[in-house]
Amino acid sequence: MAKFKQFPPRRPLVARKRSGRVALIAMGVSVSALALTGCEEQVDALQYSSAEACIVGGELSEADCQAGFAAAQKDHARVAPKYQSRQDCEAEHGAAACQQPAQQQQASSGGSLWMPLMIGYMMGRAMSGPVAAQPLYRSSSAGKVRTASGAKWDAKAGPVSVPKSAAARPSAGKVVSRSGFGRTGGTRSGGRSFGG
Amino acid sequence: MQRIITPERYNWREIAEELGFRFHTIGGDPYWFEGAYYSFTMRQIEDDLETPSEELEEMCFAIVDKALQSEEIMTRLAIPQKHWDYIVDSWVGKAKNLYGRMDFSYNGEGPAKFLEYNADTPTSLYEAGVFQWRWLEDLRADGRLPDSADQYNSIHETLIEAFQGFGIEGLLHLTAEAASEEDVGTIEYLADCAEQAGIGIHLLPIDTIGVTDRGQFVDGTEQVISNLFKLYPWEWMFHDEFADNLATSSMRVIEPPWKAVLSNKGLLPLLWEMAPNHPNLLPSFFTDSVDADVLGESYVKKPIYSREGANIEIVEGGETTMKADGPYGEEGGIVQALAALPKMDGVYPVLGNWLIASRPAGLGIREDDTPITRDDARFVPHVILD
Repeated sequence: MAKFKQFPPRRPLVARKRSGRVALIAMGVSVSALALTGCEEQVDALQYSSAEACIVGGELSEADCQAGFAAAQKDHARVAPKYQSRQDCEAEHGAAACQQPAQQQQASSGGSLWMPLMIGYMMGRAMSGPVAAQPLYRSSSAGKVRTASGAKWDAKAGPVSVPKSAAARPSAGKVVSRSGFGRTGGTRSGGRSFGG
Repeated sequence: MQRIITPERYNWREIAEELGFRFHTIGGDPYWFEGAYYSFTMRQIEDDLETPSEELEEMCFAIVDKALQSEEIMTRLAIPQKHWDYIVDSWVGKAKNLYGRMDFSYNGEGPAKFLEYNADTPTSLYEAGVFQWRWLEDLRADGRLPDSADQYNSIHETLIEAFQGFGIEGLLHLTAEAASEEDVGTIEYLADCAEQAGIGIHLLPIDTIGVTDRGQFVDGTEQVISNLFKLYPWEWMFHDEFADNLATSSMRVIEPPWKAVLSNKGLLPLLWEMAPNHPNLLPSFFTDSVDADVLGESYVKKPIYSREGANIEIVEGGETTMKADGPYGEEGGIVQALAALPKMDGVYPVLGNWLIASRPAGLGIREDDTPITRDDARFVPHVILD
């Protein structure tokens, strides 16, 4: 289920916006302070196209380079973003960047969906640090790589600074439960909206 | 403020379909209604709605700050104790908020009276931000309204700006209960705005969210959910099976957890206590408060948690004159002085003042045939004519 099937295709909304009222609403510096603050913590990571490139880079030991690559490669089929069609996948990752998983991987990756090729990996200086070894993919933005969860940064080899949230292991283990949200609403709402 | 009766655009249903507005008619009854519109002066909009809503938002922030330092208040608000730290962390960490809608009773004169704050899961956003905007565009093009006709409505562009301000890396997941077409329409619209802000989006029904053995939330393809917009109230999240995973999952949620303090009718007596006699506030008290007696024999009784007008009771001269059924009320309630909605052409309009990233951004009006605005109230457009 890569897309929310119940939703009909979305259409473009307004192409432009009433601008005459900008002066009316462009106020409120004091209350907006909360809305404007906040900047995510960055952590140091290393990224390479392969274990060999990592070893040549000289930042990590040969054993760490290989262990990181193996961990990323192992997660790849499971965590890679999945798409219903090659077209959807290429829209996000660029031309010729996508494949259908091999038959034996389909069970763990969600069936006959399309997913991007792994073009590299990232890891931390310590295997147990804040940066989890994980696969990297091409992004639709030129010169950028992205993680399975969609965080993007420059595609240069070697040390790189990344948002802390993007450094966590992309799919963190086995799904043990579903449908844990929604029940309270289901029992209480008699109306047509759960919002208001 | 006037209610002007006017012909509908002959093709408005086709325009609605073209713009993706699918819930304009619900269960055979009109939801979007353009056989009338409300006309305001700029002074009414700026002085009586926009400026007060901004001031009230600042007061609301003061209430959050106070509530999160008081066990007594948090208990009164019926927020489960085991989630207090999670809420406090979101406030101390300055977790940003996206939107909210303050509802007012107003007839064009005197101060608008603040009825309640839908700070967590407001809907009718698309209707106000897009379809109402388009309506004015069409009436101006037809010469039915002058080119100078304006509208209190920067909802669309301020939503996009607000999403840009979130600094979201990676995907934004947006979730709602799939059974509600209106809610689904709302998150589709928000997803559109997020996309225009350069954010990757993924929509999913709320009951498909999973949790892993490491306590992270995942979508149907087992991608970790790092950022979640949920059109589903915090007070329900806190009672759902996955509630205990929220604090440990590191998932950012929009609206942030601290909105649980504001989207609670208990906000109203807390505001009144902080600023008694404020011109935009109605005297309000918790039902078990001894001060509640000062309201005398006419008041409105509301459960702490209530949506779409459910379980609201109007008492006049000691008699219940209007009561809406519903499933709420077990957590206690409040009483509020009666500020009857104005009756205009036989209907009762309530004014929804939108705040986007806590800044005033627009107006959406809904009218009901009764003095309690329920979920079948119709959305009616407005215009500013100086």
